[in-house]
Amino acid sequence: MKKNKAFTLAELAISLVIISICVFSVALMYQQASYGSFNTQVITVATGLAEETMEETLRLGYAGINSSSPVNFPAPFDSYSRQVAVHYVNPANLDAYVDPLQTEYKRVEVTVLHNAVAVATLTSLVTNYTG
Amino acid sequence: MGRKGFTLIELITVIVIIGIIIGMTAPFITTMLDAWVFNRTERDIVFSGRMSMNRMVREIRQIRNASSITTFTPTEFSFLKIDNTSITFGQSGNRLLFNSDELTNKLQNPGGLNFTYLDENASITGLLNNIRMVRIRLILESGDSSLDLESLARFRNPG
Repeated sequence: MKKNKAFTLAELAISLVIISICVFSVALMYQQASYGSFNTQVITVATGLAEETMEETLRLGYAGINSSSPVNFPAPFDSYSRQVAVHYVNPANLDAYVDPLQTEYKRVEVTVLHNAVAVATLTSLVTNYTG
Repeated sequence: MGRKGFTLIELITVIVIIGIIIGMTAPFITTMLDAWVFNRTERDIVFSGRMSMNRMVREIRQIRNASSITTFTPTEFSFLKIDNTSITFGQSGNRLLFNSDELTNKLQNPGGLNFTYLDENASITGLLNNIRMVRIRLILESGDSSLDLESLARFRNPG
Protein backbone atom coordinates (compact mmCIF):
# COMPACT_ATOMS: atom_id res chain seq x y z
CA MET A 1 0.00 0.00 0.00
CA LYS A 2 1.49 3.37 -1.09
CA LYS A 3 1.84 5.89 1.65
CA ASN A 4 -0.08 9.11 0.86
CA LYS A 5 1.45 11.87 2.94
CA ALA A 6 0.33 15.52 3.17
CA PHE A 7 2.80 18.48 3.38
CA THR A 8 4.26 19.16 6.77
CA LEU A 9 4.06 22.66 8.22
CA ALA A 10 7.82 23.04 7.89
CA GLU A 11 7.70 22.29 4.15
CA LEU A 12 4.98 24.89 3.62
CA ALA A 13 6.91 27.50 5.59
CA ILE A 14 10.06 26.84 3.54
CA SER A 15 8.17 27.18 0.26
CA LEU A 16 6.65 30.47 1.41
CA VAL A 17 10.09 31.83 2.28
CA ILE A 18 11.40 30.83 -1.16
CA ILE A 19 8.44 32.53 -2.88
CA SER A 20 9.00 35.72 -0.91
CA ILE A 21 12.70 35.76 -1.88
CA CYS A 22 11.68 35.48 -5.56
CA VAL A 23 9.18 38.34 -5.27
CA PHE A 24 11.78 40.48 -3.53
CA SER A 25 14.40 39.95 -6.25
CA VAL A 26 11.90 40.70 -9.05
CA ALA A 27 10.94 43.93 -7.26
CA LEU A 28 14.62 44.93 -7.08
CA MET A 29 14.99 44.20 -10.81
CA TYR A 30 12.14 46.57 -11.60
CA GLN A 31 13.73 49.34 -9.60
CA GLN A 32 16.95 48.90 -11.57
CA ALA A 33 15.01 48.97 -14.84
CA SER A 34 13.38 52.27 -13.94
CA TYR A 35 16.80 53.89 -13.49
CA GLY A 36 17.60 52.60 -16.98
CA SER A 37 14.62 54.39 -18.47
CA PHE A 38 15.70 57.63 -16.81
CA ASN A 39 18.99 57.30 -18.69
CA THR A 40 17.04 56.88 -21.93
CA GLN A 41 15.37 60.23 -21.34
CA VAL A 42 18.72 61.95 -20.68
CA ILE A 43 20.16 60.47 -23.89
CA THR A 44 17.10 61.59 -25.89
CA VAL A 45 17.34 65.17 -24.62
CA ALA A 46 21.12 65.23 -25.18
CA THR A 47 20.71 63.95 -28.75
CA GLY A 48 18.26 66.77 -29.56
CA LEU A 49 20.68 69.32 -28.13
CA ALA A 50 23.60 67.75 -30.01
CA GLU A 51 21.67 68.04 -33.30
CA GLU A 52 20.93 71.66 -32.50
CA THR A 53 24.62 72.34 -31.83
CA MET A 54 25.64 70.55 -35.04
CA GLU A 55 23.18 72.62 -37.12
CA GLU A 56 24.44 75.86 -35.58
CA THR A 57 28.05 74.80 -36.11
CA LEU A 58 27.71 73.70 -39.76
CA ARG A 59 26.10 77.07 -40.58
CA LEU A 60 29.51 78.71 -39.99
CA GLY A 61 31.08 77.12 -43.07
CA TYR A 62 34.53 75.55 -43.45
CA ALA A 63 36.63 78.52 -42.33
CA GLY A 64 34.40 79.47 -39.41
CA ILE A 65 34.10 76.07 -37.73
CA ASN A 66 36.52 75.75 -34.84
CA SER A 67 36.88 73.82 -31.61
CA SER A 68 35.23 75.23 -28.50
CA SER A 69 35.50 74.53 -24.80
CA PRO A 70 32.41 73.25 -22.93
CA VAL A 71 29.51 75.75 -22.76
CA ASN A 72 26.39 75.21 -20.66
CA PHE A 73 23.01 75.31 -22.38
CA PRO A 74 20.60 77.96 -21.09
CA ALA A 75 17.86 76.91 -18.63
CA PRO A 76 15.99 74.57 -18.49
CA PHE A 77 18.80 72.55 -20.07
CA ASP A 78 21.47 73.94 -17.73
CA SER A 79 22.53 70.50 -16.54
CA TYR A 80 23.70 69.89 -20.12
CA SER A 81 26.78 71.37 -21.78
CA ARG A 82 28.20 71.17 -25.26
CA GLN A 83 31.63 70.91 -26.71
CA VAL A 84 32.80 71.10 -30.33
CA ALA A 85 36.04 69.41 -31.41
CA VAL A 86 37.41 70.04 -34.91
CA HIS A 87 40.21 68.04 -36.51
CA TYR A 88 41.80 68.41 -39.93
CA VAL A 89 41.74 64.97 -41.51
CA ASN A 90 43.04 63.09 -44.51
CA PRO A 91 40.10 62.37 -46.88
CA ALA A 92 41.47 58.87 -47.49
CA ASN A 93 41.42 58.14 -43.76
CA LEU A 94 39.05 60.26 -41.70
CA ASP A 95 40.67 59.09 -38.47
CA ALA A 96 44.10 60.40 -39.45
CA TYR A 97 44.75 63.92 -38.20
CA VAL A 98 46.92 65.97 -40.55
CA ASP A 99 48.39 69.44 -40.78
CA PRO A 100 45.74 72.13 -41.61
CA LEU A 101 47.68 73.16 -44.71
CA GLN A 102 47.64 69.65 -46.17
CA THR A 103 43.89 69.11 -46.35
CA GLU A 104 40.53 70.64 -47.20
CA TYR A 105 38.60 68.36 -44.85
CA LYS A 106 37.50 69.04 -41.30
CA ARG A 107 35.93 66.47 -39.02
CA VAL A 108 33.46 68.06 -36.61
CA GLU A 109 32.56 66.27 -33.38
CA VAL A 110 29.78 67.63 -31.18
CA THR A 111 29.59 66.17 -27.67
CA VAL A 112 26.79 66.90 -25.23
CA LEU A 113 27.53 66.26 -21.58
CA HIS A 114 25.05 65.80 -18.74
CA ASN A 115 26.52 66.71 -15.35
CA ALA A 116 29.98 66.50 -16.96
CA VAL A 117 29.40 62.98 -18.34
CA ALA A 118 29.37 62.66 -22.16
CA VAL A 119 26.03 61.16 -23.23
CA ALA A 120 25.69 62.01 -26.94
CA THR A 121 28.28 62.52 -29.66
CA LEU A 122 27.58 63.46 -33.29
CA THR A 123 30.20 63.57 -36.02
CA SER A 124 30.12 65.31 -39.39
CA LEU A 125 32.52 66.16 -42.18
CA VAL A 126 32.99 69.61 -43.74
CA THR A 127 34.97 70.33 -46.89
CA ASN A 128 36.31 73.52 -48.41
CA TYR A 129 34.78 72.83 -51.80
CA THR A 130 34.03 76.15 -53.49
CA GLY A 131 32.97 75.01 -56.94
CA MET B 1 -3.81 3.71 8.06
CA GLY B 2 -2.16 7.13 8.48
CA ARG B 3 -3.77 9.35 5.77
CA LYS B 4 -3.57 12.59 7.57
CA GLY B 5 -4.52 16.07 6.22
CA PHE B 6 -3.97 19.51 7.83
CA THR B 7 -5.47 20.18 11.22
CA LEU B 8 -7.37 23.43 11.67
CA ILE B 9 -4.53 24.78 13.84
CA GLU B 10 -1.98 24.10 11.08
CA LEU B 11 -4.14 25.85 8.48
CA ILE B 12 -4.58 28.91 10.69
CA THR B 13 -0.83 29.02 11.35
CA VAL B 14 -0.09 28.91 7.61
CA ILE B 15 -2.60 31.68 6.92
CA VAL B 16 -0.99 33.81 9.62
CA ILE B 17 2.46 33.17 8.16
CA ILE B 18 1.23 34.11 4.67
CA GLY B 19 -0.23 37.30 6.15
CA ILE B 20 3.09 38.19 7.78
CA ILE B 21 5.05 37.52 4.58
CA ILE B 22 2.65 39.63 2.51
CA GLY B 23 2.93 42.41 5.08
CA MET B 24 6.71 42.28 4.82
CA THR B 25 6.87 42.19 1.00
CA ALA B 26 4.04 44.68 0.31
CA PRO B 27 6.35 47.74 0.24
CA PHE B 28 8.55 46.05 -2.35
CA ILE B 29 5.58 45.03 -4.46
CA THR B 30 4.22 48.58 -4.33
CA THR B 31 7.59 49.92 -5.45
CA MET B 32 7.62 47.37 -8.24
CA LEU B 33 4.19 48.45 -9.49
CA ASP B 34 5.14 52.13 -9.31
CA ALA B 35 8.33 51.40 -11.24
CA TRP B 36 6.37 49.46 -13.85
CA VAL B 37 3.90 52.31 -14.42
CA PHE B 38 6.76 54.83 -14.48
CA ASN B 39 8.70 52.73 -17.00
CA ARG B 40 5.73 52.45 -19.30
CA THR B 41 4.78 56.15 -19.34
CA GLU B 42 8.43 57.14 -19.60
CA ARG B 43 8.94 54.84 -22.59
CA ASP B 44 5.80 56.23 -24.24
CA ILE B 45 6.75 59.89 -23.95
CA VAL B 46 10.39 59.31 -24.92
CA PHE B 47 9.24 57.42 -28.02
CA SER B 48 6.63 60.05 -29.04
CA GLY B 49 9.00 62.92 -28.26
CA ARG B 50 11.86 61.52 -30.30
CA MET B 51 9.61 60.55 -33.21
CA SER B 52 7.84 63.94 -33.29
CA MET B 53 11.07 65.93 -33.07
CA ASN B 54 12.78 63.87 -35.80
CA ARG B 55 9.78 64.27 -38.07
CA MET B 56 9.61 68.06 -37.64
CA VAL B 57 13.35 68.57 -38.12
CA ARG B 58 13.37 66.44 -41.27
CA GLU B 59 10.42 68.29 -42.83
CA ILE B 60 11.69 71.77 -41.93
CA ARG B 61 15.10 71.06 -43.47
CA GLN B 62 13.35 70.69 -46.82
CA ILE B 63 12.25 74.33 -47.02
CA ARG B 64 13.65 75.99 -50.14
CA ASN B 65 13.99 79.47 -48.66
CA ALA B 66 12.34 81.99 -46.35
CA SER B 67 9.75 82.95 -48.98
CA SER B 68 8.34 79.40 -48.80
CA ILE B 69 7.14 80.16 -45.25
CA THR B 70 3.45 81.02 -44.96
CA THR B 71 2.88 81.20 -41.17
CA PHE B 72 5.48 81.64 -38.45
CA THR B 73 4.14 82.08 -34.94
CA PRO B 74 5.47 80.59 -31.69
CA THR B 75 2.83 77.86 -31.82
CA GLU B 76 2.28 77.32 -35.54
CA PHE B 77 4.59 76.97 -38.50
CA SER B 78 3.45 76.53 -42.12
CA PHE B 79 5.61 76.31 -45.21
CA LEU B 80 6.11 74.74 -48.63
CA LYS B 81 8.68 71.99 -48.97
CA ILE B 82 11.10 71.80 -51.88
CA ASP B 83 8.55 69.65 -53.77
CA ASN B 84 5.85 72.32 -53.10
CA THR B 85 4.01 70.13 -50.58
CA SER B 86 2.29 72.30 -47.99
CA ILE B 87 3.16 71.46 -44.38
CA THR B 88 1.70 72.86 -41.14
CA PHE B 89 2.88 72.04 -37.64
CA GLY B 90 0.71 73.21 -34.76
CA GLN B 91 -0.78 72.36 -31.39
CA SER B 92 -4.45 71.61 -30.77
CA GLY B 93 -5.19 70.82 -27.14
CA ASN B 94 -2.66 68.15 -26.19
CA ARG B 95 -2.21 67.04 -29.81
CA LEU B 96 0.75 67.86 -32.02
CA LEU B 97 -0.54 68.16 -35.57
CA PHE B 98 1.38 67.54 -38.81
CA ASN B 99 -1.18 68.87 -41.32
CA SER B 100 -4.25 66.94 -40.12
CA ASP B 101 -2.27 63.97 -38.75
CA GLU B 102 -1.47 63.57 -35.09
CA LEU B 103 2.22 63.08 -34.20
CA THR B 104 1.50 62.75 -30.47
CA ASN B 105 -1.31 63.43 -28.01
CA LYS B 106 0.93 63.96 -25.01
CA LEU B 107 1.82 67.65 -25.44
CA GLN B 108 1.74 69.84 -22.38
CA ASN B 109 -1.42 71.92 -22.74
CA PRO B 110 -0.90 74.78 -23.21
CA GLY B 111 2.72 75.50 -24.09
CA GLY B 112 3.85 72.07 -25.29
CA LEU B 113 5.10 73.37 -28.65
CA ASN B 114 7.23 76.42 -29.26
CA PHE B 115 9.02 77.65 -32.39
CA THR B 116 11.75 80.28 -32.35
CA TYR B 117 12.88 81.75 -35.67
CA LEU B 118 16.56 82.54 -36.14
CA ASP B 119 18.53 84.44 -38.79
CA GLU B 120 21.86 83.41 -40.31
CA ASN B 121 23.73 84.62 -37.20
CA ALA B 122 21.52 82.44 -34.96
CA SER B 123 19.83 85.57 -33.53
CA ILE B 124 16.08 85.67 -33.02
CA THR B 125 14.34 87.42 -35.89
CA GLY B 126 10.79 88.59 -36.59
CA LEU B 127 11.44 89.24 -40.27
CA LEU B 128 10.28 86.48 -42.58
CA ASN B 129 13.01 87.05 -45.16
CA ASN B 130 15.76 86.68 -42.56
CA ILE B 131 14.67 83.30 -41.23
CA ARG B 132 17.31 80.61 -41.82
CA MET B 133 16.75 78.27 -38.87
CA VAL B 134 13.90 77.17 -36.63
CA ARG B 135 14.44 76.15 -33.02
CA ILE B 136 11.84 73.64 -31.83
CA ARG B 137 10.89 73.10 -28.22
CA LEU B 138 8.63 70.19 -27.28
CA ILE B 139 7.28 69.51 -23.80
CA LEU B 140 5.46 66.21 -23.38
CA GLU B 141 3.76 64.96 -20.26
CA SER B 142 1.96 61.82 -19.23
CA GLY B 143 1.12 60.76 -15.69
CA ASP B 144 3.99 61.82 -13.46
CA SER B 145 6.52 61.82 -16.30
CA SER B 146 7.48 64.75 -18.46
CA LEU B 147 10.02 65.28 -21.21
CA ASP B 148 11.47 68.59 -22.32
CA LEU B 149 13.17 68.45 -25.74
CA GLU B 150 14.87 71.05 -27.90
CA SER B 151 16.39 70.85 -31.35
CA LEU B 152 17.09 73.05 -34.34
CA ALA B 153 16.51 72.73 -38.07
CA ARG B 154 18.45 74.74 -40.63
CA PHE B 155 17.14 75.22 -44.16
CA ARG B 156 19.37 73.20 -46.46
CA ASN B 157 18.43 74.88 -49.74
CA PRO B 158 19.01 78.62 -49.35
CA GLY B 159 18.75 81.01 -52.31
